[in-house]
Amino acid sequence: MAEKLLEIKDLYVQYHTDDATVCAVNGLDLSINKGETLGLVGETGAGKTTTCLSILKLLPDRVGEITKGSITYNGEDILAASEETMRAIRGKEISMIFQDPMSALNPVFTVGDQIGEVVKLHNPSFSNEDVIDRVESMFKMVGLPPERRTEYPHQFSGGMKQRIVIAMALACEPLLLLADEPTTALDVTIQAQVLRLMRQLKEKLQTAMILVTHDLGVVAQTCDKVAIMYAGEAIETGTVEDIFDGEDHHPYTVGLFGSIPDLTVETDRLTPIDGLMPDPANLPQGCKFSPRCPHCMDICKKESPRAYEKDGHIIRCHLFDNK
Amino acid sequence: MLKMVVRRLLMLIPVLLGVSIILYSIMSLTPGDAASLMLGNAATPEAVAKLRAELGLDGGFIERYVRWLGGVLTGDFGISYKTRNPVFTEVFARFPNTCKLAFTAIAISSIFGILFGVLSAVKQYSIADNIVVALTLLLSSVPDFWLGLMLILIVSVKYGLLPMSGVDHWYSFVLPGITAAAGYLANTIRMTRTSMLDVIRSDYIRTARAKGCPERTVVFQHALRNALLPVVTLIGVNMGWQLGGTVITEQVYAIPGIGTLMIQSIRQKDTPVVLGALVFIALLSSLINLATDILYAYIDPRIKSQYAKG
Amino acid sequence: MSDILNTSMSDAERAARRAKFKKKSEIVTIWHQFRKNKLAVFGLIVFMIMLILAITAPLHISYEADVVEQHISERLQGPSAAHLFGTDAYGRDIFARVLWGARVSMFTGLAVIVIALAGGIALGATAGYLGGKIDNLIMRFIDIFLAIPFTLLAISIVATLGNSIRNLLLALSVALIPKFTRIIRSSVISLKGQEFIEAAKLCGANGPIIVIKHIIPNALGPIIVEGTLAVARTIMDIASLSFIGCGIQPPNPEWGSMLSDAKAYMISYPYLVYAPGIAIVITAAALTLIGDGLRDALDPKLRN
Repeated sequence: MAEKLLEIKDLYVQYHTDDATVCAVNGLDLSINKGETLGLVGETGAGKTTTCLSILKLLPDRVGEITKGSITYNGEDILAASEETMRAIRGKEISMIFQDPMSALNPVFTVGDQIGEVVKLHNPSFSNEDVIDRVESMFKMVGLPPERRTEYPHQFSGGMKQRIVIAMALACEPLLLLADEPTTALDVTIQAQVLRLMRQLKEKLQTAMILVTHDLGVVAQTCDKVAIMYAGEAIETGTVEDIFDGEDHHPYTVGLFGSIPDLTVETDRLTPIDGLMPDPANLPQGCKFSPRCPHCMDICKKESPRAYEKDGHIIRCHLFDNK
Repeated sequence: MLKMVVRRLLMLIPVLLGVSIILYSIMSLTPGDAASLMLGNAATPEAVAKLRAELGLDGGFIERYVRWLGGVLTGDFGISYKTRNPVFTEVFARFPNTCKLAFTAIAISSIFGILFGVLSAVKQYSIADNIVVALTLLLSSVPDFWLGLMLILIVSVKYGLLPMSGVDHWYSFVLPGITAAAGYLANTIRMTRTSMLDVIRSDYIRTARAKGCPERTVVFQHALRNALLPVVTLIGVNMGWQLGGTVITEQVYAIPGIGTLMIQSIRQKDTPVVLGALVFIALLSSLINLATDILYAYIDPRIKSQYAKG
Repeated sequence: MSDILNTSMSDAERAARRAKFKKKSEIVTIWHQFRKNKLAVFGLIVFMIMLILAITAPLHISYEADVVEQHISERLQGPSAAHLFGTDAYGRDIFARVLWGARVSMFTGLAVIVIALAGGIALGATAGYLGGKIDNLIMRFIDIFLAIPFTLLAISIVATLGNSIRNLLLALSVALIPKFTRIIRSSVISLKGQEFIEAAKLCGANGPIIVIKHIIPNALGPIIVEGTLAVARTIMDIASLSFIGCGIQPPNPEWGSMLSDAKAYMISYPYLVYAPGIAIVITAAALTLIGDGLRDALDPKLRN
């Protein structure tokens, strides 16, 4: 029986700068069950990273603001939680790994100390030996020699650094891992290695994962469920079968799949989706995809579409109004 | 690591040589003949010539320079025209006072500089930050001698809290220390603040927060440790400049240091002393810069491993 | 063949023309950005006021009568309606002397910066553009000068050559040139690799022309910022040197030497110390605000 771990309802997040207010997330609905892997797909600027940061309440101090909605983790209201509660959750129940491994580690502390820090933080009763034991076992788990825990980040390659970051994120066996494009900054071969590692660890530790990516191939390999984000909304969500094999799709999804170059077919030009994602400081009325949508109708320009559901497959598009 | 130290010391030698040449050249431009100045107008040409030979003042420029340099390398900086004492003795006798003053100034500027810089960065845009920024502007616009005079007027004259001159007590160095520290306090605050603001925006700080670190740990361990790296270099550089910059402060507070010795000797046209003091200070500040570089290599693991390999 | 040459020439020409047009509208953009910074604008206004006061001083103050001539009968009078800032030990009106001192400080300061910039640009551009052995040689030379603390170097030059404005200018410029050389050299090095330089070379331009026409105008940003901040420091240095007697000599009214005179009487007549010092602080602070404002306005990262 699937147990709901995290539920995001109607989330709105804004960034306030001197010149404008950027609407990064606009009415996002998302949920993930224990042990599940949810792929969060979208172009740059769709609001994927903001969503992850909001779950951990790590938005930049004065600039980022969650204006509406709810995030519930394991029954706990995240938005109402105190900073103390959040600190207990971060690193222990929910961990996050970021895109660029090169700068994610503190250059003046050894990697062993940095992993040890998260262990000690959430296990204050551990002795120093216990901490070192855990650090070394994490090293082995991600395929790195445990003796290297006394070395500094600059002594490791990019792929190795990302392994260290993963080890650090999983050291306290969190229930949920937020992985924000963890392989984008790595070589393709290293990408495959790291993804394989993450799959193994996920199975071993039964960790649920939100995997942010713009690579549909990665989604197909790794994810159980998929949510496709556009301009701060989840415009289509469903199981991986729904998205890849299903018949009904949001026009944006169609465009995404259509823009993937096919190795077997010879073509002269790529087929990208026309236009650009709207300026988050200046969002269009009605459906946010309407300016680029080949099926745009009058109603699309005026009213934002509701979520239309069929067997768990959700699409936000006026085209599915009657289903 | 040792290799690096040795290499740096060796690299220092041509620089110091160059410094000595430049300073010697400048000093040798002094109009007037030293020997006749010493003996006065009534001296006979023979006496003057004899004295010139004694002082090592005859011969061409290069000859004189080499002779002087040879002396310096053995610790003989020549003789003061006025007191006939060895220059080294004169300069070194004044060294402790200058040292105490420079040290006080560096301590004040570094400690408060880091404190205010961190405060200002952590509480950016707050009232505290604005006050610190305004204070920094003022400190860098106030000439040290005027600050000295005003401090004397307010603290010594009006309220009689601290002495206005001399070095009789340890607290005689408080006002001079503050005076000499002003400009360096400003640049330390600035550097710390900028460095902290930069570091706080880094990815690894975000990682630390995502691990659940309390904000105090994030700021004072993760951020500060990185932010202080360039500040250490700045403090080292400040120390070197401070040694040369105490001249003005010593004048204001009548502190018998190397600075006042130099001014005095300039007025008395006692060139060997001026030259000796200049070389002494240049040497010291170069050594301090070198020490700073070495220290930096120790505290930044990225540089340390670079040098550990060779 | 000649077609290709023609195209590349007109491409380069177009690039150069675009660069010049970009320059004009860039100045406007920079000014807009500068204007947003209220503190910087405030500094600019204050500095302009001081500048105007300095320039127009001779219109209402006679150098001989008000600034230099001694009126012993009126000595050491506190501030009053007749003498806004009081009179000094020689009976001279302090307000007039401070005002005239603004001329002295600003013009001397400006002169020093102009000379030092000229030297710094010459050395820095040469070292940066030519690179290699010449660069090494120049930078070693600069390092040697930088090893000598600034104040001491300036004092030693003035002390040896004698007290005169010319020597003061020389001393301060010599001490300042190394710093400018470093800054300009790094600007030149980073500009050297950019594409429009390639375009200029294809045009047939040779070394000195490239440097003068193309590189230096683009390096002006940091030059102007550093120059402005340096004027502030130089004005303070001139005052310091004059204070210890190595700068501008009496009876020339210089803020620093005025304070040196004041020192002997300040315990009983503290007002002697206020005006010249405050003048220095205001001038230096205004210039610093302008310099910082320029730096922020020129920083592409801060722009939208």
